Amino acid sequence: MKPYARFSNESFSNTSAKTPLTLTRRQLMQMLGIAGAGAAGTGLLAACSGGSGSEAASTTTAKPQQPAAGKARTSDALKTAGRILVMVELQGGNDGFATLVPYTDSRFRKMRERIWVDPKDLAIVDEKYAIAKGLAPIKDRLAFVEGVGVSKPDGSHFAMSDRWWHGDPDGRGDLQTGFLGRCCDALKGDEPITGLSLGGGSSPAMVTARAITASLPQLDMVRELAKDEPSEQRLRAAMDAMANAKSQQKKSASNGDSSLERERLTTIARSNLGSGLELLGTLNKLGERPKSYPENNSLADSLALSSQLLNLDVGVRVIHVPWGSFDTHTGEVGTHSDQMRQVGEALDAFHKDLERLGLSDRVLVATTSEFGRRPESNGSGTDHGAASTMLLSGAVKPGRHGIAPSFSRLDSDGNVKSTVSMSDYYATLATWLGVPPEEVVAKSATPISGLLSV
Amino acid sequence: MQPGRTADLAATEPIWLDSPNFRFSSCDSQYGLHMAPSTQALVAHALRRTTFGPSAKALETFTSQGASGPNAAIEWALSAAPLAISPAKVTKDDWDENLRGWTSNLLSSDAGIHEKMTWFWHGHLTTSSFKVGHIPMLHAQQDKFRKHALGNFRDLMQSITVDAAMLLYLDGAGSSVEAPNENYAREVMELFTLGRGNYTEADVKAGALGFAGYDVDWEPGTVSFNEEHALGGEIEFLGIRGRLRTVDLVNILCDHPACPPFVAGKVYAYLVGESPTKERLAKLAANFRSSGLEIKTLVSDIVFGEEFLQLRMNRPRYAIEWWTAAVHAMGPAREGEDGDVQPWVLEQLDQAPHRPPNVAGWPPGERWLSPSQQLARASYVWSWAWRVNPLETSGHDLVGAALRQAGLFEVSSATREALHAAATATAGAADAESVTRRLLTVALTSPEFSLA
Repeated sequence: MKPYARFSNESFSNTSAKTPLTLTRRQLMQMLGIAGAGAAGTGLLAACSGGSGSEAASTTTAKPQQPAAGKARTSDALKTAGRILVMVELQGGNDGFATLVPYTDSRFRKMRERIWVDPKDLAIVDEKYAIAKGLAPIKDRLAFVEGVGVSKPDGSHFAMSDRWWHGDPDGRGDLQTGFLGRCCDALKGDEPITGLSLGGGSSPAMVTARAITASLPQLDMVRELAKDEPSEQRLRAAMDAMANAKSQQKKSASNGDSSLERERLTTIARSNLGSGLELLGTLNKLGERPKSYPENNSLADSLALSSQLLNLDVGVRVIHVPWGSFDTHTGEVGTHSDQMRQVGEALDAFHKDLERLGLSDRVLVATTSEFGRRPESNGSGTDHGAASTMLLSGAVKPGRHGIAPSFSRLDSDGNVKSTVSMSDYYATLATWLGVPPEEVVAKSATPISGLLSV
Repeated sequence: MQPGRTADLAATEPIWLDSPNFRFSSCDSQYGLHMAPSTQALVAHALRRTTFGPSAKALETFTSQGASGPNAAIEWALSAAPLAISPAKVTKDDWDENLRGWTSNLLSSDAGIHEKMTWFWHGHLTTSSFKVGHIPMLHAQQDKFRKHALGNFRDLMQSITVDAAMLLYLDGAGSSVEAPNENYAREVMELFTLGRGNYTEADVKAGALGFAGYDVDWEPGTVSFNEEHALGGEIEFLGIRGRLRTVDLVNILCDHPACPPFVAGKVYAYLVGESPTKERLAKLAANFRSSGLEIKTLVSDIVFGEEFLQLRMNRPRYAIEWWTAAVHAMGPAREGEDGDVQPWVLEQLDQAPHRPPNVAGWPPGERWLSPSQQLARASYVWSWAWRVNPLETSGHDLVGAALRQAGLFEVSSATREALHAAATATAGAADAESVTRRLLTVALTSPEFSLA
């Protein structure tokens, strides 16, 4: 049986699964105020966010003020309307045991002798646990979920990243959309852009069947393009015309012919150019990067931009931030603690900013990482592990969740066995967004109880 | 002539149309493919795939040869002399100089497929300067890619396995039998030689023991081998038992039946834009293997394949390909204007040398068409194209001139219309520069220009 059977029709057989064409560019431009129309109040935060059903919006005349059409969800929809998920992907395999440190466990200490961090260089939580010192500023905001992983882990970054991106715990490889992309599809309302990737370009995690997602380059680079001068306006109009062009391709091709693939890529390029132009219109409305965020911290850059965009209320519900290089085979202590410092400083600034803006109860930050590290050190670092500790902040109950994996029952590779499944973790995040978990992960998944604060 | 090679493919115009594999593209008014693609289109395609162009010079040279042009372009690219980066430019620890050295090679109209493959190996056997911030060391690694770009794959692997930058990047440096580091052992099998499914976790652990014993001195950047930290006993690696050291492990990997098809498949996808059919791959791999893993044999088999000229615009251009092609398309700056093409923009385009996203190098695919790529690319052209010479027109065909300069000869009506709109928005001789700037920005962010 295929997982997520509810999606099988569109996810497995729809050749346009990666071609998020929905609203026309002109409609989108109008909604975002690029063509002079006001964008105020058009965002999802202001609207009821029920899914719009399975109809592609290309035939819909979207009216910004109109609540989402299509099937109504339960009254939960009202409660979860406008909630936002910021997914920070700690790339390379974050060491959960250096994030939440079982510093008094003698077995653990023995395995980590060569990269042992003196407890005085950690932030002590209690007699059993400490956290990386860099996380101290947000200690009271953080929830830790221990032992998150899959039942049959793989040692490859790419195989495991793929599983996490697609929400495919067993690595079946039959899902065309990403976990975040499916969330966007379920959340898709009238607003133009539901999901946004920051800092890493487009990610397979964000591939949707229907909803539009976009990515942004460094803002300084595109500011000139966004100018409201006649020459830039003319350029954007010409590019907009190109993005809006309708395909005239007949869907037929024979073997040895690349025209079908050319047409597919052309359609994607057009659609993405259109999404980019929409965002460009939004950028004009963004002020300077808030000064309260730390400098020289690219995670902080992405979170600052997230906060600015969320405050503009353009309808974005899911933000994906791939960040960091956690593949600490060597020199782990320095590399990891420095990155934890950046995480701590960036999240501290982000949450304070959200509080200031009155957005804090709408935002959940959650991390993923393709795997953790092996308990036993390899010298100055650690090799690829399996289950890891995930971090959450925002709308969570702070403290430890999940079940600590056992150091006395390691698998044949010397890694800990997962105690909380990826699917359960993802089901929790879906619940936060008001998305029924069975729409985005396997039916058997159960949200982790007591993790969310609402 | 190599087996399977069809050098006379386009000796006269009709011959290649008669090839059994050729089919007319679906009747497609989008691309004007009612007829066979023009010689110009095929020459431009051949140069897109075999160089970082097309450069105006090469385009002109081979288009003027008529029907034999496309094949002549491939012949030339394959035999063009390798370019070297002047060592004088990298004696100091200067990232900017190194970047300029490499990118000026990429942009040279003398650069053929050797340069294209040098870049391929940099992506395939990648090293990040974020981890190895030692420019002379990285430059030494680049030299190895240049030396072996079309050489022997086994030599390349032996050389790169004990390369200082690679030893640091994948943590071979300092790995000892007492504390073996698995990083290189895993990636050399998964990403460099065999692919997933052809090894076990036990092979990773055994490999880590066999590769142990090397160290790198940061200054002056030399590699040392310490017998005390190397394997003393025996290991079993991919079914072979013995006191296997680094050279043996690399040989075992290169002799493994999974290696030739794995490498051939990667090179094919890079040059042809899609995966080979099973039969095609089997033939390529067999020939690659029987040649003793000669890369030039493999590349030659690929670019002289019947499908090479047929499979056009079927993969996105990598950002590096887009940028070099855009620089060629814009042409040099007008006299008196700053001609610096600002290669550091490659960082914002996510493909600067030695800045790969991870150990697998730069992934192919649709990420290169992302909204952020499109905006960054448009910004680059917009910020640069006001410096160039106005489009040359013989008459008033500005759109045709922009497309010709961009090397685009198979263009949808949609793109053509957008260009017409851009050209007529503010016509008039007085602002030829601003029309040129706008037309080039639209042309170089068109879907067609985004594809290889």
